[in-house]
Amino acid sequence: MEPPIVYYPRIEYIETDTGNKVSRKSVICGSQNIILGGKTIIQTDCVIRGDLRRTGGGHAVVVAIGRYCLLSKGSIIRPPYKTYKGIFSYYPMKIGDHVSIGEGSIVEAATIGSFVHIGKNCVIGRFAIIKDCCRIEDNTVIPPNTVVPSFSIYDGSPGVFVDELPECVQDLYETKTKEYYTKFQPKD
Amino acid sequence: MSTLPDTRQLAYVHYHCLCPDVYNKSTSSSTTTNTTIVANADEPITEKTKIPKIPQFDVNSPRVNFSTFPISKLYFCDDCHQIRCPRCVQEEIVCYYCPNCLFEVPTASVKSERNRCARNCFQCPICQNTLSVTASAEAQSVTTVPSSLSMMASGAPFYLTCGVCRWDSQEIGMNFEKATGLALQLQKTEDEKPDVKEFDHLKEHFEKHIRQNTPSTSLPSSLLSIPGMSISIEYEAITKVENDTGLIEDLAQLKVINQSYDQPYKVERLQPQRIHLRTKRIKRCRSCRHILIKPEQKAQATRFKIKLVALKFTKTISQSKNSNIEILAPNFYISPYNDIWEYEEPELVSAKSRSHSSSSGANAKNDIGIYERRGNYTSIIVEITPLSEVEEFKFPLLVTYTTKSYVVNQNAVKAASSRSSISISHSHSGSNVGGNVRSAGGKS
Repeated sequence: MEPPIVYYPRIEYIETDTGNKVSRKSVICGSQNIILGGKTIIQTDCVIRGDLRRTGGGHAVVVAIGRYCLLSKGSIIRPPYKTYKGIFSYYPMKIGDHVSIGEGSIVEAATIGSFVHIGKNCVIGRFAIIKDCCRIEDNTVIPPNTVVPSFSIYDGSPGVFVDELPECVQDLYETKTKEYYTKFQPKD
Repeated sequence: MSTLPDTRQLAYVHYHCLCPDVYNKSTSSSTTTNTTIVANADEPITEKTKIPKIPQFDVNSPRVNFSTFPISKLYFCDDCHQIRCPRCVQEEIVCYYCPNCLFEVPTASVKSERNRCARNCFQCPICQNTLSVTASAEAQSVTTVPSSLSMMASGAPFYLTCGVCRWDSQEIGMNFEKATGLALQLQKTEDEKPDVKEFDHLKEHFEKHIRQNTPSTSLPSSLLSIPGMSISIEYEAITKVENDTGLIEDLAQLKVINQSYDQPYKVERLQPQRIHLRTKRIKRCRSCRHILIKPEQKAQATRFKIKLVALKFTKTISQSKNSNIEILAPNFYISPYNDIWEYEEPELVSAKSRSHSSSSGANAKNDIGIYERRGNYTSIIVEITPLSEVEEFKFPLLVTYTTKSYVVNQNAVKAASSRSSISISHSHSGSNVGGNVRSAGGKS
């Protein structure tokens, strides 16, 4: 089924030179530590915590998000933290291209690869690693430190492997995210 | 476009594969439920002069759910020019890897490691989550200053903990001296488990039997093909199952079903399990042995050396809206794919473009009921009026096409400037069609 055109009020979104569309109603902390790859949509009520940076100097990038990503309404991106050798610190998070994160999902992963779909109301635990070409179903809880290998579908709480994705998933998710971006249009 | 097998979607398009065992025996039944279009897209490729044999296809057959697939699950054999579904491909394992540490396991050692990761990857026996190694010394000295590094580096004894259900291996008295090579440290206990012992004994027994009964050259020592299984083979179990009367009642109370078939024991006896290996597989066409899918050898690579998926080769059919089904155009033609149209504007279909038609005079007579014709896709109007309220509505759709090899006309394509020299031509004699039918370029 073809996705419908989604209209948004023109005044709500800021469009950057590289085509990122960021809602004014989202909470972006520490924007100097956040990189958006271009043509990424950040919708209403999203939270990105770029201010939670590593203790000590250096390594300014906290959250790096690739191209054609979608952060749906109310999703939260928060860098993972741990106490290592007695020192509490946050660690950077990297998200690849063509990643869509569903409504109300909380992401504290260390890495999310490209061509990943995360459903609604998911919790991605601290330091989880999601490889390329994965699908996390709605309402899934991925426990901390979990590795989700490529071409897998995870579901449940705690999220477990349920099925494999077909080989053409890369093309599917690429078309889907690009189509969503083109059909996400302003309306006065 | 319905892409993944998402049955929660209101409308989806599934493709029917003509695996011979399916359509010969199709029987009818009555249940239909959700709007579905079942497209009969797989057709033996024939010359235009030959009329393709139209197989019997019954939408109401209970087999339909098993013989129709979303296009993402289908492959295309460019030798046979046919669609291949997951049931008519043959798989061959290319490599084994652990889904947690993503290390490749050499094929030679897979068997001896019992298809499980021989490193540090363990699964929680309660919730199947990955366990993490915790140092008991560190647990006590979290707040200490980093000067006590040497003490933490030793950290022994180590144990496994589950971050989800809080199970830890100290519950069953399992401790490790080192934080690495845990599987090796556990190997002795694993080898002594009664079920493992029994399996090894069984294997040994049957292997001996095969050696005795067959000429040594003809058969591989596969346990799948034991000759003379009809003759009773005497086997004596080496381990005795303890007569645990309370066990069945205990098992009945288990909430997680996985847990009971993995290790049917009481909680005190549950052992952490090494994580099962996963595989990367080559997929071949069953009839011509042509490779359809060939992944890269490396465990972490997501690319494919060969990838012949149906999505790139056949027409995709998609639905724009749920509606009543009445096809206004009983037969229509879809223009073939052409490189020139690739550079067209992204298709944002609006009502204004309704009148747009690029069809030539020859096709004009078919334009009744056609919503839009543009590039290599055609939108048609479909009206569905169900007689009564049904949960799901299915209708079949026959799409036929002819494919000309890309190679044959390659020279013509290079010189192509008009529609007369088109690399792939599809001719369609569709009977019922919904939504958008789009032809894709077949590149060989």
